[in-house]
Amino acid sequence: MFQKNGKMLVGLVIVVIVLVFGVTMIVGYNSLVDKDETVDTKAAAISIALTERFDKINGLLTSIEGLEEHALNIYTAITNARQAFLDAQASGDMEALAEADQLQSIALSDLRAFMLVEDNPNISALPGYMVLMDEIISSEGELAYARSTYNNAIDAYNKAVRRFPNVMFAAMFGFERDRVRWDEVPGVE
Amino acid sequence: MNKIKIQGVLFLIVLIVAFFVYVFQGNQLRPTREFYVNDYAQALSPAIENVIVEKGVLLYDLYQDVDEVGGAQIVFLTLDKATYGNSSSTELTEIFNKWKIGKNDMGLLYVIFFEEVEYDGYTLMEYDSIQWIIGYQMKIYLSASKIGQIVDATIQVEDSLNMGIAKLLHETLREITTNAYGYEEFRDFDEEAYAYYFDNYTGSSTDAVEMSVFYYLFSPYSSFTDKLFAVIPFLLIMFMGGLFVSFKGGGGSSGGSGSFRRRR
Repeated sequence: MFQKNGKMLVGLVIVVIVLVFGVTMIVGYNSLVDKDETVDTKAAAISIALTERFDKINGLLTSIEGLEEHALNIYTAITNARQAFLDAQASGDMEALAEADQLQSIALSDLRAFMLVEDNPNISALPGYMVLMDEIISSEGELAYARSTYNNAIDAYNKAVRRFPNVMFAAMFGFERDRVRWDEVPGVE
Repeated sequence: MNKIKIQGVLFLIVLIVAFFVYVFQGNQLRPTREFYVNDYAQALSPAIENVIVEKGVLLYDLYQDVDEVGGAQIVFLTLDKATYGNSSSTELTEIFNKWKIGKNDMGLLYVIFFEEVEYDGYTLMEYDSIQWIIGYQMKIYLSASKIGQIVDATIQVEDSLNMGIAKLLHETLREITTNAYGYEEFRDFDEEAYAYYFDNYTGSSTDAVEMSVFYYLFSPYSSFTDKLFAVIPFLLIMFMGGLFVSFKGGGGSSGGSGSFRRRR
């Protein structure tokens, strides 16, 4: 009688352990999937912001009369940045996308510097100058916010992957560890 | 005796809860009860505060049920440059998103920075710069550069801050109602009427409502029960922020669109 009860107890304990493990695994796995999806969504937001920023600059540059002939080198920089961005977007490589972001930022700062230097005092009086500057500042703001929310999502993901018991399920289901923040991408100055 | 003990315990619980909520909230800026005007720099006159709130409420009430567009909300926040001057556009966007400005992302946040200046022995808050953050959907109808043009023609060139803000609000309303809601009969800005209104406004500042509760709470005229029932909403307003606000955000968010101007 005692032996039978003992076996039942052991069986019950095993069932409880399996149940607890199973529930923990499901909850942990779903939480990792959610955080992984959030990172992808935020990455897509950066990609959209990058596209918008570039299209806006490109369109506005051509609309400012008299600027084009003075800014060929900046056009070249922007064209190169655009190609790098399109290549990175096609490959889906986040590091390449971050590098394209950097190229665009450099081209932008060149453009801003060009428009502010003393050699071009009449540029600020051109129709469309303030429109261009406002749209550039706006795009920069959108991109800064997209980068910030992406990094927050990366931090949340990396923390979740390292925490127990998620660390077991992350290894089991092949979740990437230590995903790289936007501002820490190697190779970007 | 038991009644007093229960009242005492209730009072203590409210205090403890309020304290912990306050501590965990940190130093985040919260919207005021008026929502549309948040004068943290204490630089606006009661008259212009009243205009901002009235127009804001009217705009939202009129258009909040318009299908697919939703109700627009224009919110003003004033900040002291010495404390908040280095705020990035990302931080201001976070404020926008926490306050949930505009229904269906039809929000617009004007942040006006003021600087403390000494003038003839008096300390005044002087307009320094303005920044604007636009909601996701609002930017379809009102771009950062269009707002830039409105700012350049209003607050940037007006000597009177009251008039500058009133014109800025008026022209912003005109753009939103025309572009987003198709309203074509927006009247021109009546400068004389506004000047008369600003000169003759006798209403009190919005802070007065909180002061009256505060005064009542510590006055010898209120009983212990009165104090208890007075202190609960007071603490909720002060520390829990937003539960008893008159107006609130429509649930909108922004992706950081916007630009800025420094005073000329």
